[in-house]
Amino acid sequence: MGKEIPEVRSLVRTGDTSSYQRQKMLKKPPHILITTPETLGIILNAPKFREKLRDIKYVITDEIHSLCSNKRGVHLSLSLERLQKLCDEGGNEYNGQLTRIGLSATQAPIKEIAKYLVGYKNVAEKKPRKCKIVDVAASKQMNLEVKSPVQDLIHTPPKEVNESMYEEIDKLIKKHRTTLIFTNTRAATERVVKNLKEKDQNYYEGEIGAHHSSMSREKRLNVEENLKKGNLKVAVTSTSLELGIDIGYIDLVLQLSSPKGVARAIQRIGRSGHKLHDTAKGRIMVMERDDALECTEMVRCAENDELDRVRIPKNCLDVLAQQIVGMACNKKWRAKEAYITVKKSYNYIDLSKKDFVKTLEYVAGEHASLEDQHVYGKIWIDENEGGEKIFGKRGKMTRVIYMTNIGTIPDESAYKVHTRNKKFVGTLDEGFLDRLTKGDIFVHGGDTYQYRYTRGMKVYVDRAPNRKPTVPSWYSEMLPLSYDLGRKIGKLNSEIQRKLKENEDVKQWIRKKYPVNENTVTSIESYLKEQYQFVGKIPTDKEILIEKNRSRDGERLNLVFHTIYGRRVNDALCRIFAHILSKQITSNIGIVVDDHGFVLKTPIGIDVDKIIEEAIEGDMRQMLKESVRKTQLMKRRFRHVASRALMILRNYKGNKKSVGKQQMKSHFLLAACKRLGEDFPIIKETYREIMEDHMDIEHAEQIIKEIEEGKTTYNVIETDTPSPFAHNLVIQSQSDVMKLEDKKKRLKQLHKEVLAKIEA
Amino acid sequence: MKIYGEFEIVDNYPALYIEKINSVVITDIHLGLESLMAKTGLLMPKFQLKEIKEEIKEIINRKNPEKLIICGDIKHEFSRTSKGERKEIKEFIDYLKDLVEEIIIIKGNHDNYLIYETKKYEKVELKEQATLKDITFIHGHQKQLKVNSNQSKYIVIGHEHPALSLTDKIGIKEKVPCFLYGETNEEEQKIIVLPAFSKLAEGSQVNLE
Repeated sequence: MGKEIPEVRSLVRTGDTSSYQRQKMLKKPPHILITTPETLGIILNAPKFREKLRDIKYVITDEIHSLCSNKRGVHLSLSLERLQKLCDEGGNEYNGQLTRIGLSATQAPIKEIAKYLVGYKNVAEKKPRKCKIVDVAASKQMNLEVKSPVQDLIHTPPKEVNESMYEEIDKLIKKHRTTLIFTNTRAATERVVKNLKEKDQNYYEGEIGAHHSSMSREKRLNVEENLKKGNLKVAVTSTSLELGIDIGYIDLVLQLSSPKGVARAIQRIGRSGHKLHDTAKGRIMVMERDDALECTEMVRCAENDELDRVRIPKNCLDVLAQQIVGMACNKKWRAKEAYITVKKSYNYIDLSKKDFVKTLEYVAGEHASLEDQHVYGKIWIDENEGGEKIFGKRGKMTRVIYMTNIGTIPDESAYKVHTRNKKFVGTLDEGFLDRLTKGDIFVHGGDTYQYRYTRGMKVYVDRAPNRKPTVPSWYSEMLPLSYDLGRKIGKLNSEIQRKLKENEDVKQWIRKKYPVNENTVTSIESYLKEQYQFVGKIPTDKEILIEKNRSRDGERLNLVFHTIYGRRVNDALCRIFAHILSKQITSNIGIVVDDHGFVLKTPIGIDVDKIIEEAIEGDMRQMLKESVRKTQLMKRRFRHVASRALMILRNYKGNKKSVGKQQMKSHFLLAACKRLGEDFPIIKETYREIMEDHMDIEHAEQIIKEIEEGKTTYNVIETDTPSPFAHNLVIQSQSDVMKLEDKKKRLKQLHKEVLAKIEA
Repeated sequence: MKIYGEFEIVDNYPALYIEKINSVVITDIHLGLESLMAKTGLLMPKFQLKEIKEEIKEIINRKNPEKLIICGDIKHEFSRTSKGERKEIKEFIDYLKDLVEEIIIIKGNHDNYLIYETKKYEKVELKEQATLKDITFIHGHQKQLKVNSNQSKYIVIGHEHPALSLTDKIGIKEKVPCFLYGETNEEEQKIIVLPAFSKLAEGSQVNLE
């Protein structure tokens, strides 16, 4: 006689769950509740449902690596501490024994992520809660290869490179049952589908589907459904199929261009052979020499499970402010008790008392005059009989404000593009707009436009037929190269440089050590060899090459910094250097940044040593702050922070505010807040987010420190023709040659000049 | 710096001093903007009034004028005068009346119902336009803006919030309030447009590049 298995109820609760379903849930709580960080923040404040949470025994965080690196994860971490507190306070049949479980296939550094998951038991001694790490990451075998479609990525006409690539893709698809293709941009996703259909109409019709975040939900679900059922031979996606969704049987993943990070490569390629012990099979197609180099090192790291480390944001004052409001809605707190609860979160263990108090005071509206505090304050602060500071909810509106404005994902929406005679052109996303300065030419929907100005959510442009674009259109979607991988590529460069010096067989070495096709071997070898022969120096992880390259007219200098540290570090370094330089000279400075280096366009006669000296001696964070203070980036990030900290309310008294209204008015707010000083939590957090999350000031500082200590060195060289490693950067800075064909043409020409010099 | 030899820009401030009528002119103060924003869910702390008071005091100390002329838009909200605004306007005028002999306020398009506040003061005159010697002061929102040149050689207006927009290659963007001056369609008549005195006014860009 078997026992009957009791019914296990599992329910989903998100922002879309109807009030009827929520009522039902309350009457008969599920055994397993599946929810989002935002909804957890809400149910912690739901007076009745909250009581049910006291009995929770397990909390599982899936795909923890993708949460812990952003503010959603920060928010979750505080919610978990609030949940823990709820359980600790009693009424829990397990005596507060809440067990937290975190899952992900790609976690590094795993010990830090574990600490993030469990938080701290004792904040005074900084003692983390107990945690058991189960590391099974190496259990999946990887079968990887980097493929360059042609031997010579410089001289082969783009059309031919493209044809060879599609030839190769087509062949691979036909050899497998189901193929998943990843591209780096949404536009490329569409293009691949179109090109494959054109290549073999009969084969692909009805067998190929695109899947990306700009598509409607139905279309996406349709593709997912068909994939699961095995009805599709090929699915093409940008990032949307990277995580989570069960997509059935895939036996090959194709990645077009570099995925820019080891973890991402593993996540993507791991979508094939999704069962334990299956081998994941992935092919990475590269079309540029920088990409070839990058991906070669990347696949080696992927095979050896050398993941790039995620960075976990710390001391985010905006999320803290939001959670303090949530906490105050539930009960009266002693400030000290709240401070300890917050500090138990990994993200806030180092939160200073001063910042906590400042944030508390901000939430209480103490930046406003006494009589206005009923408008600005969401909590009150007082003292109890024991002289302890206490706080609680102020007013009836506070709970409503919290419940309707919760969350950390900023409203980013598309800007409408109009010509100045009011003709609608299309839409642009915010990130791209940040890159534009007045007068820039960009491509939109196949036509070229010149950027004029932005008013609210409207972008005004002029038609600029036949002008050459100055800003590549894919810029905003490009993921930055991870710092760790950048340094490893530098190491690979250094290794090859040594072999070139000693006349060893580089090709043979690459072949043996790296899973790459013969075309890739040839591209890499010739790329590094040319650089070496041309200037005798290849930039490495510990040797920065700085190239003073005179522009073609001879009047300006392209100061090329070969720093393979990824765009986040390079962006910080570049702005700091430009800031230093702008104090020395009155002339305009232009900048170009990418993953492999950056360029300062300056007048001739610049003393590089002096710039670096000032960076060593100066306060880099302060300099970076000053250089971003008046940028669009600052304005946009400020809006995000102010809205997370409930200073800009998206939903207020029945009004829903569009991003446009938020943006239009947030500059008033920024002007007002700047007067409150740089320690005002909203301003402080905006700078922190820009410097630490958007850019990577930590590693930028580390590199400058290494230079100071002599652990990293730099060499300054002068060139008439830019060295091969500088070509991509210099071309981006020569704004008159950005069209793809022109770019290729110019690359070819530069390459020819290099070869001529080497031979001479 | 002087415009047309008679209109002195008070250094570093969006204000003019006119010696022959011993007056200081400012415009577009937009009191109460913060409260209005706060009502829509943009919780902006108040700071304008305090700073504006300090700045006006500094200007008056320097120039010692008999009159203060405000070329319109003292307050921000169109449709009514909110409680917060009323309080701010009172505080503002109470403060000014001890600094100068006479205050002339030109009614701007935001200044509806302002009369209920100003009528309490003897020293304060609220007008649609004012002409002192050969200078006419108007706010400048009226579509048909025409002042006979026999009557006035100069027109001084506000309303437009002119500003220069400066952008550099690194993406730093700044808007700097500026004065505009030039000729009108009337013969021998000149016009001066004042920048806004408000700390929060978004300037209207007047330059193309």
